[in-house]
Amino acid sequence: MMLLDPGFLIIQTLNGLQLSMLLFLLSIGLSVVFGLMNFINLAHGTLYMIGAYLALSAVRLFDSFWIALILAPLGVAMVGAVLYALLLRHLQSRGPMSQVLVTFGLIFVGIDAVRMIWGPLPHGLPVPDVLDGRMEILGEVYPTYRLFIIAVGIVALIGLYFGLERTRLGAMVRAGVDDRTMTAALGINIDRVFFLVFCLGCWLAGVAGVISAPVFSVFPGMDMSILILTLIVVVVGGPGSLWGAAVGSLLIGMVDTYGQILAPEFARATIYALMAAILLLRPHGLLPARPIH
Amino acid sequence: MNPAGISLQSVDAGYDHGHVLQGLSFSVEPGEMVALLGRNGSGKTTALKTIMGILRAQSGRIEFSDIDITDKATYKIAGLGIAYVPETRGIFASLSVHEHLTLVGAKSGWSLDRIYDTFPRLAERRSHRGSKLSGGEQQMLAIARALRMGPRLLILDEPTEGLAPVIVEEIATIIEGLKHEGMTMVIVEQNYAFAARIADRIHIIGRGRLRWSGTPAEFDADDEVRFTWLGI
Repeated sequence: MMLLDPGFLIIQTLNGLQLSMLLFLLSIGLSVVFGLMNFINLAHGTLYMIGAYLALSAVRLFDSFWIALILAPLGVAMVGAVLYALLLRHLQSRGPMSQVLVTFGLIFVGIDAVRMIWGPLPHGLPVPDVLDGRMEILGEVYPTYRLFIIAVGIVALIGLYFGLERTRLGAMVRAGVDDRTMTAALGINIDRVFFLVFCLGCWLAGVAGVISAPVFSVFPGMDMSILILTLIVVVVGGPGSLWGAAVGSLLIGMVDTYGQILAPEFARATIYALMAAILLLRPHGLLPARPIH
Repeated sequence: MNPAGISLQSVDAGYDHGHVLQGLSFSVEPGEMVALLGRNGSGKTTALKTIMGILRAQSGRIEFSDIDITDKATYKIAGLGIAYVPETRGIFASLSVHEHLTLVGAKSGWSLDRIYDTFPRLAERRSHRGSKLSGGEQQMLAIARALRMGPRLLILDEPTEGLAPVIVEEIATIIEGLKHEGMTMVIVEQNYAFAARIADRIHIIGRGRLRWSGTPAEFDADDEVRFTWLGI
């Protein structure tokens, strides 16, 4: 019955869209990095959490959400760069098992680190004044800030599309995903391209952390549930592909949102069942980047 | 263009399950066009991959223009001026023809205008993605992309394999043009008539070693060598 009420549908679709856009910001970096180097970084959610905490500190220091939105993702990108230089770089030539174990360990290091620095209690971040209101959309009233999250995701999608499809660096990334060896044989330092993409992915995870902080509470371990969904998005969408990450995010964001309302006790099970079904039908995901030979 | 020579000295290399190259030595002089011949599995493609650093030499030494490139990374070897057209052509499915040609581009390389004049088919297809090209178009694109790099040594692995005779002729014309310009080239060929026609010198590889070396005329005259190492 609820499904026939247009007001309900509009609100829930917007909620689903909001989750989808956060998932997109998180999954695109993970997905392209995986597509380029077969490198899996389970600590990607940790970078999201660090983004939220850095935003907390930046707001305390500068009393401005917007300054936090600029500084915190840069901080996250720097954390990512250091992590890469000290640790992750050495895991590239190792098999997936070492990558999974080490980056899985980093998740717990991350949780303990934020607990030591910011304390164990949950924090909240106020919604910036300009966006602290409600807007009417299709006859329904919806919080402006949540529309802002959706807008950030759409802007990121468009920006990444142009970056990937219209720039030389984007062409190098696509070439690297298609055929890494040939890309190197053209004189392109694929490791450096990978590093840039990795840092950009961390930056986007940081952005997701900052913009989600005013909506969800900020606490040690806030990364866990969204990390699982992000990994599912990468697998379902197909690694290495912008459209794969976009479509996967939309699908998982919507199914999770509607699932929580229509059948809360089965919501997560539904997502896993959906993932299993998609992988049975399309083992490489919905829109994989790599051509299937 | 400033052509450069290359030499392999007692190179051992191969895959996990064993050595394909077993003390392979040969050299190519600046401006020379060398054809590498040999049966399937004799180590020709492995030799090219080892030059490019795609496979690591376990021992021996590879020198390009008097620089030791044995342990250099692939992108650095390419950066020194070796362009590689692999047997699989290495066309990127998600890049357009034009993107293939703008991905790399050295000052010493061919201009886009010259590329599109020489390969009119690529000009027609400039916005098509790699996955939409025919085999002949892919081969031309792979060669054109290599020329954009302004190489001092061009390596071609079976450039005529599986192509229609018309296209083979077109590619032969381009390769002969490059030869007249003095480009150093190494070409692996199964089409022996084609190889004998364009090469200055022929090296025959058998079971990972150099077995014979000589001019195309000597190759034509030596029935025994052709029978022993190529089975013809």
